[in-house]
Amino acid sequence: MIRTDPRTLGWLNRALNHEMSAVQQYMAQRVLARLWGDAALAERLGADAMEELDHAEHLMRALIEQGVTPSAGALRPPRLGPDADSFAHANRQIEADAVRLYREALAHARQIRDQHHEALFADLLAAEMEHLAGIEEQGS
Amino acid sequence: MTTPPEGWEARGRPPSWFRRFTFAKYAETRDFLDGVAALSEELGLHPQNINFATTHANITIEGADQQEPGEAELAFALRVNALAATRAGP
Repeated sequence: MIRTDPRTLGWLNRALNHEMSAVQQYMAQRVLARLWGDAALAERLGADAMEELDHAEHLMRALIEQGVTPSAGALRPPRLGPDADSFAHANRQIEADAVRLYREALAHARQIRDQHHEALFADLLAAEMEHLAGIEEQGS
Repeated sequence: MTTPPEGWEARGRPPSWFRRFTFAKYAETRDFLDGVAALSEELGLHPQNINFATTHANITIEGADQQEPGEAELAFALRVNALAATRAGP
């Protein structure tokens, strides 16, 4: 058995599930946007997906460092919709969920004085807050 | 070979025991996880992996050096069961 605080492992796994769910949502929306012929929206959603994939990679690295094989588990079904506005609504929600998740994970890491994971969760929190602000500015 | 305690499922490659614990609300799940963390410190044994969501926690434990879980893991699993029993799950 490994030595990591069990709750930290739980937060890493929970975050990985969230990030891979977000990738799935953005990619599915990207496909729909392309089918609608909205190239600009498709490109933006593709960039969103890549950003979340990068977060997932950081989390996978953290899990592998702890001797755990990363597994995102059952992903949240993607939220789609008939237009860009419905995408924006769904994406604001998933990013707000990410912010809440990383705030809790960061609070945990601080509480147990785990500076390594505190830095990781702080970076991801900052990225998700920025992403959320960007979605609110762009409207998608 | 040590038999897993009640509620735990033996899995292979590497040999491990798995159990899903369910709770009525998030506060109970968090309280349970805090208890598992304290237990890990007390016994010097840590789960191989933990997943959790609002009302459940999945725990995987392995033996040392990827061997079959043994008496130490059995003691740990029994204490985890006792922790869960003190939380009112559905």
